[in-house]
Formats: sequence, structure tokens, C-alpha cells
Amino acid sequence: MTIEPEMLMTYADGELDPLNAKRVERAIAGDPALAQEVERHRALRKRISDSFAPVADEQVPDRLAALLKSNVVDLPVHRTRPILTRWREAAALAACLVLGLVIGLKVPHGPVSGGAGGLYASGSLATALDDQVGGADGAVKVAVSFRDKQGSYCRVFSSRATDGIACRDASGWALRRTQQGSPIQHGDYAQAGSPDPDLMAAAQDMMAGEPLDAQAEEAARGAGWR
Amino acid sequence: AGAGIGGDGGAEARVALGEVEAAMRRLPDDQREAVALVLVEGLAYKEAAEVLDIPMGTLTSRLVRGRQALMLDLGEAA
Repeated sequence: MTIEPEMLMTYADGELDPLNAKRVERAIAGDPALAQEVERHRALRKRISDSFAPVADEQVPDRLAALLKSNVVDLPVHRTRPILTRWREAAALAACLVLGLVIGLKVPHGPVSGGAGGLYASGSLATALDDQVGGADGAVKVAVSFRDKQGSYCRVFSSRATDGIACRDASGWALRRTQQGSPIQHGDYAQAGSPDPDLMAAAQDMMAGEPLDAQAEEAARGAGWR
Repeated sequence: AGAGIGGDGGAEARVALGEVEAAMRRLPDDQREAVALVLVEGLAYKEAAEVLDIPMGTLTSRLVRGRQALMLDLGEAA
């Protein structure tokens, strides 16, 4: 019997109803390749789940490690929910996943919304791109404004969740580049940091001529960045 | 890669997170969402489908494609 890949995955996750689970088990008995596939699913699941678990908990101080050397002790850490609080990277990844969820939901929700034409800034990010003075501190910081080679106004921005380059078109601030934010923590609140050098380099490539000075920026803002 | 014992474990674990993180970023958004909810957050299929407001069949379709892509990307041979 041919088992569809989705059914095999569902079986590997323990989500398959008992009747179909029996079918899969019979098929596995007759085909070792199916058993391997189930193992691959479980191994990947474990790897991803482990990557997001607080691994620091599993680090044993050296003096205890010496005690354990002679005893092989397998201490499985069972967690029903991963806790993404230990590392900056893990926290940043959580933000990226949330962003990915927001982007994927295609519902205007938070700083980014997606549509058929691509990703656009929305909400507070869009407002900041419209109004923020270059160089000023805030939740969204604009590092530089310029015109790209097609004549659109573009702004390099950094914010808590996202850094990137947005360019104004007829539909709004199109996000040409995005990457995770790198905020500066000031006690209880986080301010936008400086954008990545890679982002600045990308801006340099996109730019026609020189960045806008304060006066040109003021004029552009007044004209609604058209 | 996994957690090591002693001083090295942290660096190894950070590398592991980096690889998985990078691979997940390469997924299309809909597959990444499905994988994040089921494999990272540990939601049941039914719960994940509800969160995303999609039929179960759509969820499992995105989930299996995402996981197959990750297996190729992360070189999960076994």
C-alpha cells in the first residue's frame, strides 16, 4: 500500500487516527524505507525542538561533569513549551518567527503587511517613514534618505523588530530589504540601533547620486515622498 | 550538533541554533509558519490549523513541504 508523505509525517508525529495508524504500521512492516522516513521526521522534529529549548540548562558545571564521567546518565529534558528567553539570538529568532507569521498571515497587523505586490510598511512603521527626521532617535530611526535609480525616494530604517530599506511607490512604502532589528536597550525600553553595514552597502548600490541632506529631506517629506 | 558539557557547549548550541534559524528563514512564509507552530511551539495539527485559520489539509500540506525542505537544507540523512 502506498502511504502518502503527509500521512507518514502525521503518523511520525503521533497525530494519525488509530485506523490509519494501523495501515501505516502494516506498510512499514513490509517496507524498511518507510520506517527510515518516519525516523527522519522524528529526528528533524527533535533537532528543531532542541534548537529552541533552553540548552543552557543542559550545561553541567565542570566539577559535576567530572563526577558524571564514569556514569552515563541520560537526562531527557521534557518541555511542553520552549522558552525563548536565554539568548539574544533566540529572542531575535522569536521576533523573526513572529514577523514571519505576521507576513504569512497577509493581514495588516503590526509594522509589515503583505499583498500581491510584495511587503509594505504599515502602522507605526509607515507613519515613521513618512514623518521621521533622518538621524533622530526613536522607536524607528532613519539613517539615510536617498533617491534610487528609478527616481523613487528610499529610506534606510532601523526599529526594534526590523531593519531595512523602504522605497515609496504609489501603494506606499515598499520594503525592498528587511532583516532582523538590532535595538539598543535603555533600561526598560529598546530604541532603534544603527542599521547593519550590509544594509548601508545595499543602499549605496541602490542610490542615484548622493543621500538627501536635511533640506532635501524636508522638501521630500513635504511632498509626501512622491 | 547538540549541547556539550562544559565551556564548549554554549558555542556549539549557538551554532546549532544558527543553522536551524538560517534554514527556517529560507522557507517560504507559509511553510515556515506551519513548522514554527507545530515543531517549535509544539501545537497539535488541529490547533495550528485553527491559529492560521486554514483547513487541516492545507496545514499538513505546508508542514510536510516545509519539513522536507528543511531535511534537504539541514542534511538530515537519518
